[in-house]
Amino acid sequence: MKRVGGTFGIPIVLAVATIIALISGLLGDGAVDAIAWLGLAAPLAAIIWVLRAQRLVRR
Amino acid sequence: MRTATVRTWCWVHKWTSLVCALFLLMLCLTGLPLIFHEEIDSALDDRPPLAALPKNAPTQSLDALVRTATAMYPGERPLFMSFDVDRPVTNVTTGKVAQPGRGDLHITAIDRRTAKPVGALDEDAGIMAVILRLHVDMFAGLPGKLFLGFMGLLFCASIVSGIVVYAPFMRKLAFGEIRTNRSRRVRWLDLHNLLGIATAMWVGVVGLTGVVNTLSETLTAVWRADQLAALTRPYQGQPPLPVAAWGSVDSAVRTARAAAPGTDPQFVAFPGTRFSSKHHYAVWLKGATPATRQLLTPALIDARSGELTAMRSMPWYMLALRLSQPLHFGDYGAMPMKMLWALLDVVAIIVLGSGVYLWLSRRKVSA
Repeated sequence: MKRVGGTFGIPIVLAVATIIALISGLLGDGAVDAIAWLGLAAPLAAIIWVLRAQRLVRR
Repeated sequence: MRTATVRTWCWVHKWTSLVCALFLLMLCLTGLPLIFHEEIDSALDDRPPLAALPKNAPTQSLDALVRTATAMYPGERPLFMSFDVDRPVTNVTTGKVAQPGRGDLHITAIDRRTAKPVGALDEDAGIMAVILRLHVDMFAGLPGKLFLGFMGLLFCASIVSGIVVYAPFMRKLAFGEIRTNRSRRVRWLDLHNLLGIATAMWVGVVGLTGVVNTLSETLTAVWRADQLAALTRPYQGQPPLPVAAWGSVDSAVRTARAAAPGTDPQFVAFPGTRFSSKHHYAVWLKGATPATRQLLTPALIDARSGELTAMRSMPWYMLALRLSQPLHFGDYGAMPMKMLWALLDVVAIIVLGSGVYLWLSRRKVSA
């Protein structure tokens, strides 16, 4: 497996996605909530994606 | 990083985690149903529905609602008035004295359109109340709350040290790499690292805001002593205003809203109560977005003359406290956010559990 962006490359992207999600949700209701959902889903999606890539979880 | 430094951080991560692990596990488990408390509460709600009236039915004056409540409990005076957001209901709290004990007050839920009492939700009864108390203070009051706050602080230290030791552990590994050809313990270590680092920001924010929330009583007391006292200084030394001399609460709320356009009252504190002065209606106004809904602006209305005495935004520590609430509860982005909050909570439980497992299954020689 390749080490994309070094040890902290992907973790930083996930952390930034999370913090954008948490703040954008505070700024309004409705459309900005969708940004919050996407950002909060990012860490979960990354976990599932990386485990599936190693065939550790199936669909 | 030098080996000695890594060992120190590992030591910090191990002990901060182990000390708070049991409490954090309890907080994560009780927090899970609390994410959905609105849905669960309304499912368990057995109050009769409100009278069906046209959508644009006129509402009664707030003074009429106060009269309804005081008529039900003769000899009591109004203390607080709060406004339900999901139904046209106003709750009026009454008591014999201005600052009664917990059991010595009555909350009457009143239909705003008819000024008739309706069924109130008993928030101190039922399974959700037990779960909430466990989560907030373990039934131990303020000391329990502050203790959990300290556990949360240890948890934050454990997250930071966890991020630091992630680097040396992952030096030769790709993100999320699970070494399946090694022992069970190594597989769990790799999974612990993946789940921990992927959710570190969420867990850190929920942990830190949880710690801030445990300071709510303390910060509110500081604020009342400091700012509220400053606002009402001109009235110091005057005798408390008798109930008979109070003017209309309805016009007090209208005066407050006119002074801060775009806001709605969240609650009104009557003269003499904890959230007002002895001479004022304190109308606590909130904004319209999830963030500004949390930022309350108290408008102090002279209860005798009905004029605005002062209005001041919250100080920074109260803003931090109020914003910590939605960031901890995850209740500001509709159902999808609650679902994600729950899933992230489950991941946190796995990280906690696997961390304890890694400690229990450590090689005895390397202690």
